[in-house]
Amino acid sequence: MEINLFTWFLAAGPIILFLVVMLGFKWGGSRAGALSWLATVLVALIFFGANFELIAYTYSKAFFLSLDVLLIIWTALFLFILTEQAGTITKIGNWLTDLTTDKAMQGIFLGWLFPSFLQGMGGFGVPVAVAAPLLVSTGFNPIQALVMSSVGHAWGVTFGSMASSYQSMLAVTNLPGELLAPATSLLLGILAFISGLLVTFVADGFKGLKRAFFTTALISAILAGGQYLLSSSGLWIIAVTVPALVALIVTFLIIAFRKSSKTPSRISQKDLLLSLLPYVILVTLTLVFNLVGWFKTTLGQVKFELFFPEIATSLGDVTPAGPGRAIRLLTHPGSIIFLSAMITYLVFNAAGILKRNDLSVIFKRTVKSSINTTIAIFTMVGIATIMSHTKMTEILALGISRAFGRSVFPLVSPFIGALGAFITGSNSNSNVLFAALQMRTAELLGLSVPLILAAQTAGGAMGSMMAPAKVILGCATVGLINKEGEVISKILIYGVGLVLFTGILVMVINRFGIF
Amino acid sequence: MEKKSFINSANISRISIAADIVIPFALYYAMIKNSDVIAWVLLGIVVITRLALVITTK
Repeated sequence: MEINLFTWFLAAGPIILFLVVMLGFKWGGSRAGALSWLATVLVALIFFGANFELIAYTYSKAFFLSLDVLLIIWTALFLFILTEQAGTITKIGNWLTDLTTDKAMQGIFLGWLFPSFLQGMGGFGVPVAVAAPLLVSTGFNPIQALVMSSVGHAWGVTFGSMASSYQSMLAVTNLPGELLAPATSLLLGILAFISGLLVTFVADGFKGLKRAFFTTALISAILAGGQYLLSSSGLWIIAVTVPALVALIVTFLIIAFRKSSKTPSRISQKDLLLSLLPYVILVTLTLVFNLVGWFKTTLGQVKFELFFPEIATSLGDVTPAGPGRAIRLLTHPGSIIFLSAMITYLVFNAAGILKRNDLSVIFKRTVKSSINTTIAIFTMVGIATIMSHTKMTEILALGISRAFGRSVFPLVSPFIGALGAFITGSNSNSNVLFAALQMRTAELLGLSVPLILAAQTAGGAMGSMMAPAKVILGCATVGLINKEGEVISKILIYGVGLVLFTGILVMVINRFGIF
Repeated sequence: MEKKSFINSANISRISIAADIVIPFALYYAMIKNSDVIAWVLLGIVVITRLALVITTK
């Protein structure tokens, strides 16, 4: 299809509609998603050569993509409601408040480093779903908590989730990881520092930012340096987990050394250990499932997937035949969270913290809390799937890249990555959609391929935190259901700012010819 | 006592989720087996539930 202003706006139509009804009319995610899905179907049928077969198969394909996300959302909510029912989440909040009353330090610990650590291991929305309720329990308001945990973990998205986004970029570009790692980790390292500063700012304004500046700089050096060294030496699967863990320990020591609060802790050591138990189990199981080969090879064989035939539009755009998203039930992050939650329940039950009939209450609360979120995810993923099969997403990116020349493209490149992640909710998907396109554009314009691909994935990492699917998930865990529009407008300010900053950084690096 | 209508936001949401879980499989197999009428009906149900969501959700 020819790319002009009209076709570009048509392709952007469903996203613009979604944003307008969510941000302008304050609709909830499920209603906005349903309307935008209907609009996407109409636009795809009328203008982009879609047919009944395409709509039917993309609907089925989208189910598996949605299920991949929903398994995490449902189980993360279940774990959260379990800890809330047990009262342990409040205890952690009290413990941290007793340890330090410094809001900026609380923000660094729970809003920046803890979600980054979780991102390193699991990602897929877990960092926000787990960290945001903890921040609320320490006294931050829900919107602050969501902004902090979203901004705080974004730098770790590319090398997080065992570097799945990075791997997807290597797969579609067919380039060696060692070639792309320096530029990618440099950009993300600088972004780690900026996101740390933003978290302290959101936590306690300019005073907090100023007070925690040197701590933020020190921690950033650990995160950025560790990420650079590990990813450049081929160990990208742990390039976020290890630096984030070291940074958490260093921050804990700094807080303990300063001990700004004089009040003795309100909870006993036993209570604290029990309260931290769900997270200790989660971290341990995640490491075991990801690092012990037997779990992946043996349990990973239990999978559910469907094979889809070739799908073509009447305009000649073809999606080749192939399997849909495989759901590996026994090794899925959602299964690990659920297993952690059930072990926690058994321990809490034995310790007398939870009663036997609490389990059904927790299940019922989980189902009730996840209804709107589930609909929103089904519709949003459905939109993304139709858009990618009708090449609407590609038209959006190509339009942006063609409108700008060699000097401006480095600024625009991260926005393309961010757009892909915003629509699909995933840095990996954005890399699959756009990495090859970015590489080709860089070659045509005579720009550094590693730098432009770094811009793509860094933009994707920043874009993924703004993705409605992730925001909706976060809202569900802090009780802001149907307030997604309000939250997304706040996160967009920081997210777009970070993408713009990335673009300026890429322009500067390109000007000096560092890569 | 006023009788509560069945067509309300909560019920439509539940129906919509049930449809989104069951229909993808049924639709996939209908398409693979070229059962066009069944496929049209199934996708029609999806469109109607989406429309109902837009109309009934506050």
